[in-house]
Amino acid sequence: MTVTNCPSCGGQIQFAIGSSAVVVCEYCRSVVARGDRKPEDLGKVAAIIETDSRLRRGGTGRCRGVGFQLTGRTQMKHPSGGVWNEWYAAFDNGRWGWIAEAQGKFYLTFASPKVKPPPISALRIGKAVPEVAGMVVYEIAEAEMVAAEGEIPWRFEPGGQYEYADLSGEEGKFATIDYSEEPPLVFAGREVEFEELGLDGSGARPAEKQVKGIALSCANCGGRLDLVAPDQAERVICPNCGGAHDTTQGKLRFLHVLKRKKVEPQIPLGRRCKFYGDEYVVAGFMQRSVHFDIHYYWTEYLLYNEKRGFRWLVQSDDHWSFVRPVPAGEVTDSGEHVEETPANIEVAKTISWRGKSFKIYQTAMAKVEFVVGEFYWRVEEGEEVATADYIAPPEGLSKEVTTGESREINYSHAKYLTPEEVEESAGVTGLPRPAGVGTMQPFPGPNLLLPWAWFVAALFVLAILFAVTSPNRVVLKESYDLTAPLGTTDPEVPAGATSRVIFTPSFELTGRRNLVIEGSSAVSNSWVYVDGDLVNEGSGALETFDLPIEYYSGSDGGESWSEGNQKRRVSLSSMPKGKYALRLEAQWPPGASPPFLHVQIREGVFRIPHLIRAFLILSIIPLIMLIRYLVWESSRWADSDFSPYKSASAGDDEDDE
Amino acid sequence: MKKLYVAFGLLVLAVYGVVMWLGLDFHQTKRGKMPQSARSRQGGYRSYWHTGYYGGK
Repeated sequence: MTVTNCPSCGGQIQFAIGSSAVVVCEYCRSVVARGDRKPEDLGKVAAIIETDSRLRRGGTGRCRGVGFQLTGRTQMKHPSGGVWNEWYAAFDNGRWGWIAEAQGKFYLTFASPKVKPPPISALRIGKAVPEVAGMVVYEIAEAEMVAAEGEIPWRFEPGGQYEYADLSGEEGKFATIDYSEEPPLVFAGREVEFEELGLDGSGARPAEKQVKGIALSCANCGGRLDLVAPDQAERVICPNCGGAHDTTQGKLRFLHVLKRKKVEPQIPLGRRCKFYGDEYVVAGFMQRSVHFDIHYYWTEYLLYNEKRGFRWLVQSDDHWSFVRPVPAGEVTDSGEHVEETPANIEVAKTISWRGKSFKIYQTAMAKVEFVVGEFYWRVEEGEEVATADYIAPPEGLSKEVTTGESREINYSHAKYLTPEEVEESAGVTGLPRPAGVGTMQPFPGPNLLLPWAWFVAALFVLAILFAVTSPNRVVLKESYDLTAPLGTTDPEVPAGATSRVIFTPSFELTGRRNLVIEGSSAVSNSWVYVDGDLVNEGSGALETFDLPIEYYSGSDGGESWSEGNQKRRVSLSSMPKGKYALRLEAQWPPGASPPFLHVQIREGVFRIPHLIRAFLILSIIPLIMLIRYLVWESSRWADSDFSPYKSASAGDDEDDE
Repeated sequence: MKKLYVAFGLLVLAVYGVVMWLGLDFHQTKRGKMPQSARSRQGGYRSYWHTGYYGGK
């Protein structure tokens, strides 16, 4: 420990940590750096803006088994006006950790001197930086160092501007590249939960002093302003008069009255809601719009939970979704991009997040139409952001890109909620029910594809088994010349006869096997009609059938044609085991020569029509569901410029116009 | 609904199996019985052998 005097006021200052670079004098707020011979005064900094941070200088904690002490912090001001804390943790193993605290989240990083990042001009929002473990750039901005306290491991100048880029990766990985120095410095680590810091009582704000919410008065109308997250709110809009206030300097500062057409939120501000096991308070409400042929409006409720931070509840066409932020580093795109996009942002046709693929639904410039309540950024009516919405029902991913003083990309994940679920969670009633299909609304019917596929597979396995085991035995095969006597006692067939009765020899049937009786005759432009009886010679049981054999052919205008068949087949159900004979009565047209008749009976024949019938019956219900699903999906995509259901001809018509 | 379809599918498979096992068919035929009087006559219905080509039964 080195004890010395402030070169500005003479007050005593301590360099408690051997590797610290500067100390902020508690008396005069001068930034004092270690010098070769004597301490150096780098200038004064502003007093810390009280943000009700959950951390305290001087506190101790333990992270991943290594103890640390919070020695100091700086406060950095974002171009949008927001302020965040950067705490400095001196670890017992001699390392310094940076703990960035913003919007209720904590990011613990360590210097990575071996990483050589590319120049800032080479960075692109939304693109991965291979040198920094492939993490994705989600913000490029310039911060101003506005306040500081305690002992700090780097030499800074009060009021200095620092260019930086923030990157995110999967599983909470985080990195920041500091371009204020040459070469640029990389700090890499990850997002951590407050509990992971293992802070003891000295390092954390006492529970009883944690601000749950405060009530202020509007500077314009005197109306009550309830802040649920006063340490993170940057903008508050009075619900009574629309007076916009800034809260970034630790106090309420009136800006102006917003011109607007008032929109009533269906869930009141301050209402406590429970979603996925966590309780949230409705902090803010806004209405946004996009413009295509007409204006489309939707509303968003900003929810706050002290542990989880901020979430959104979005209502569009009376469909609801619960939305939470997602690190840009966890999203990968397909590589194929949309051609025309708002503000020329890069928009992929599909993106992936946690193994799930999302398809582009719409791109647009979203504009804030109305806003009331508390927000964590300096929201203004009329502000616009380029958006791209992706869907994978019942989920969605939204990409918002801001350009301007800071370039930033934000991804958020949405999960569909029914009005009933929102009513139950928010304790409200009477929410309007949606009329059409929501963009993320899941299809209400069952997914029968898998069970249908299993059944079809089982059906074909059964069919193959039966086909292989069918005997297909010929039990009778006879041919008859209908012009000749069939037996020694048969008389001659008289001239002009048009029918003949035949009895076949007896044959045995084994039972429990179907029968196929086939009759054929070489008729040509003629017919022979066979009326048959299959007779059990023992019991007399019989089954009648007919075989209408006819065949016609000719030529018409050089084209030949044919109709009918010289063979006819009939299938019969199994007959009991026994001895059988066929009685056949053949008829033919007058004047025609009696034809030859061939008869064959087979037993145990595999029947394909049964298989087809079973397949069709199995498929009816899935087919109906498929049609319903296609109609549903077509309706879902009706308002999208990227609908897979829009016909090519519709696209050609648009081109012609 | 999914459970109903699964039950329905199992039923269809079972019916198919039974139909194939028992050799059933859905052809429109008539079953009947040769009268005892016709069967008990000498030669039975084969007496038609001699007159059948006139179309008689």
